[in-house]
Amino acid sequence: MFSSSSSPPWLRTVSLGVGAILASVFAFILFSALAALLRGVEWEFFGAVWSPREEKFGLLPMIYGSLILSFSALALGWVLSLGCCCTLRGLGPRWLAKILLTSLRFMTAIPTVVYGFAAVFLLVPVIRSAFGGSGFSWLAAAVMLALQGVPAMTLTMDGALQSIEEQTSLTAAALGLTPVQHLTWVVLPASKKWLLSSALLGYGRALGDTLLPIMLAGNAPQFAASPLESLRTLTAHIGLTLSTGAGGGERSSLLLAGGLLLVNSMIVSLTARALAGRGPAA
Amino acid sequence: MEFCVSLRDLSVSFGSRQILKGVNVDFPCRKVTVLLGRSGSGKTTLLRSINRLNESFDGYRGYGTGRVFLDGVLRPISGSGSLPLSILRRKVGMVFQSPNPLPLSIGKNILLPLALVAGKEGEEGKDAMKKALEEVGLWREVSDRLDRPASSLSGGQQQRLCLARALALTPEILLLDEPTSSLDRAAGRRIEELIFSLRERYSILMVSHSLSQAQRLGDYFAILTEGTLNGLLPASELPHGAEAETFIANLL
Repeated sequence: MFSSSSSPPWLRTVSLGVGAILASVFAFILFSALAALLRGVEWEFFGAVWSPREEKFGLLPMIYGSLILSFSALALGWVLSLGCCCTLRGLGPRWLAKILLTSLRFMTAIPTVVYGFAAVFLLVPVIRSAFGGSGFSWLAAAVMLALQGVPAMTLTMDGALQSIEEQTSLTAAALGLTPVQHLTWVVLPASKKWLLSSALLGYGRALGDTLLPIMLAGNAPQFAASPLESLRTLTAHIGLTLSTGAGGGERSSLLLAGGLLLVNSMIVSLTARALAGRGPAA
Repeated sequence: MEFCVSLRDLSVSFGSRQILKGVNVDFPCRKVTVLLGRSGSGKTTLLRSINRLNESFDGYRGYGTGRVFLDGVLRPISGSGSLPLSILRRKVGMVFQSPNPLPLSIGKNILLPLALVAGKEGEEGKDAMKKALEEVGLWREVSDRLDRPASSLSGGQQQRLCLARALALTPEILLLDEPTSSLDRAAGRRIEELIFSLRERYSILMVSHSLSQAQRLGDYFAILTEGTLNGLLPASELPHGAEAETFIANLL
């Protein structure tokens, strides 16, 4: 079946091996999650209460926490990224674009824990003094997740915008369009799919991040109604519960939480790939 | 002879490479002037110096003076007393070598520049779009699919769309940079017929790679040799038939 391929056999073996390992990890998580779901009917995994002492292992507050935190971080981060992109593509002065691009590239190399650390000492006290409470909240986590996601989203968007801009700038100039009109009316509308695909990327990253929610969101397993309240995400929940030792219902609930995260990531990733595959309208 | 563009001692360079070397020429109004020359002789640069498109490229430096006759007034192309850039480019329409519709719908390709550059929106914009598409014989082919991507059109149709887009902005001068070179023979002929039909209403400056096309369309010929050009050659001074090709080829 590989007769038409010119790659050496060892390379094919390695790639098949890696593929098989990855597939087995996915299969393990999905099967464990399914088994946990079937076995643990009495543990009310989709209940609203997490109280291991009462044998209640409801994941709903954490699912809710993950969703609202990632969507709010995405909304904030996407708008910031679009703003950065427009600055890079000529809406801002050149010196600002240069500084911004260098900063964004630098930001991609900063470990997440540094963002969390800085926020604990800089952002959380500001929230605490401005709004009261402990400051460890949905708001603190959302702001930092948004900031952390900005470089990847901006650079993804910028790649698409740059390519469309290069293809169309001479035409637009010859028609008398200003660079701002070109960006606003031609480049951005033609990049719609890429803008959406970068949003999916940002959402996937925000949903999967563990350290920032653990460090900043307060981790109370509750339904936060205001951005100043504490919440717990699925990822933080897995990290926290595992670190305190888990067995029985707790362990099963974690497997289910992992399965839910994986399914969500797969949906996001496949959608992003489908969108990117179609590319910008030519 | 009335002229639409007058260039004096025009020199253009990009970085250390000089493309035009002191060009002196007056292009006549409402005639087709064909620019001929070998590759790299500066034909496209000369066209682009009339709508200031050279300024879009890094390393551009230009010297000399250029004037355009627009709205009945002779004005400098740039500097004091010149028209704002967007109005100059609206009045001096351009069609490129390869069809270059914007990545928008067929309709938007014409409506967007009309709205942004000419301020024609709504019904006024739609009427101008229809008129331009009729002028290039494309209206019947696309009237029922104006919201489809422009990229869904064939190469020849796309080039006619680009011509319609330029015409919709009511230019007085048309710069055509080898407008048929990327098209098949039939589509190229169609564009040639269009150019022929536009010759009495617009001043047309056209770069052509084909001597026979130049003979079919040109009222005047401008021969560029390594960035220099001096004066024009009227079609009446060309020998007839196949000799003309040899005559021009000798000048290149």
